[in-house]
Amino acid sequence: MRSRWLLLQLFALFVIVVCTFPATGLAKEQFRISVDTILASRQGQGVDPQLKRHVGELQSMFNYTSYRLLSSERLNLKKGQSGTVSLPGGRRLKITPHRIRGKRAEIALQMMKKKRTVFQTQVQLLNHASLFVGGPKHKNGNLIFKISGDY
Amino acid sequence: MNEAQTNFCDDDLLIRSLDDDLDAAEKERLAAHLETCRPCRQQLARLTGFSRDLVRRVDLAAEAVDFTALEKDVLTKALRPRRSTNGGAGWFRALKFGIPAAVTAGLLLFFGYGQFMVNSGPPPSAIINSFTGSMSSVMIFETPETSQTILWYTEDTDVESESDAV
Repeated sequence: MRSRWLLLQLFALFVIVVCTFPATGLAKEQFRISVDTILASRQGQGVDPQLKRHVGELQSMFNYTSYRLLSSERLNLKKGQSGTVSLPGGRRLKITPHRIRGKRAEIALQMMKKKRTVFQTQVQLLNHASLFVGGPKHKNGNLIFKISGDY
Repeated sequence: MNEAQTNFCDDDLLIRSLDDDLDAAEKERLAAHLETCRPCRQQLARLTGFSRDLVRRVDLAAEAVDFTALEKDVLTKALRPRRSTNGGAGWFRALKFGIPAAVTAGLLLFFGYGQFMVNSGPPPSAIINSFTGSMSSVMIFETPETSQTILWYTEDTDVESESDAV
C-alpha cells in the first residue's frame, strides 16, 4: 500500500515536471538549421515562388521589387557543434547552437568575410521561426540571409 | 298558492328560513304550511334553539381566546422554518454553485488575461542577446504583424569593395 502511494507520488512529480518544462525535459537537443540566401534588388520584378510565404511582410518594409533565392543550405547540429554555411562574396556564416531554453534555442552566429570576422552575435531563436540578417551589397542589390531553426 | 304546495314538508326551506334566505313567496308558503303542520313547527323550534346555542357557544369560545398570544404563536411558527432555510442549508446550497462559478471565473480571467492582454502580439522570432563586430552601422527591428526579427547591417567600406568584386 505504501509503495503504491510512493509510485503515485513519483508519477505526479513526473507529470508536473513534463508539463512545466516540456521543451527542456523531452528535447533531443538536435538542431536543424537552414540558411536561405536571398538577393533583394530594385532591378526586375517578382518574388521567387518558394519565398512568397516568407518575404511577404518584408516587401511592405523594404522598397525592393525583386526577391530571388540564391541558395539554401541545411545543417543538422548537436548541442555545441558548429557548422559553417558558404555565402556569396566569400562570406561564411558559422552557426553554433548552445542550448534550448523553453521554445527558443540559444545560437551563436559568426559572419566572416575572407579571414575577417564581420560580426558575431548571440541570439535566442524561436522554434520554427526565422531571423533575417541582411545588408551586404551584392551585384545590384542586397543580400538577406534567412536563418531558421527547428529543434 | 295551492294547498298541495303549503302542505308539503320541506326541511331545506326551514333551514333557509333560519338564514333569512327566503323570498316573499317562499316565506308566505312556509308560514301557511307551519300553521297547519305541527312537526314542522317543532322542527323549526329545534333548529332555532340549536342555532342560538351554537352562536352563544362560539361567542363564549371567542371570548376565551387570547388573540395577541395566538398571533405571536402563529408568527413564531411561521418564521422558524424560514430562518433555518436561510441559515445553514441555504449557505451550503449557495456554496455548491458559488465555488464552481468563482473557480470558473478565476480561470477564465487568468487565461484570458494571459492570452489576450499580456501576449497581445506574437513574440519576436529572435532575441539578440549580444552583438559585436566591425561595420558601419547595424539596425535591429521586427516586422509589425508577425514580429519577424531583422538584423540589418552595413559592412565597412573596404570589405564592401571586396565583395562587389566577386
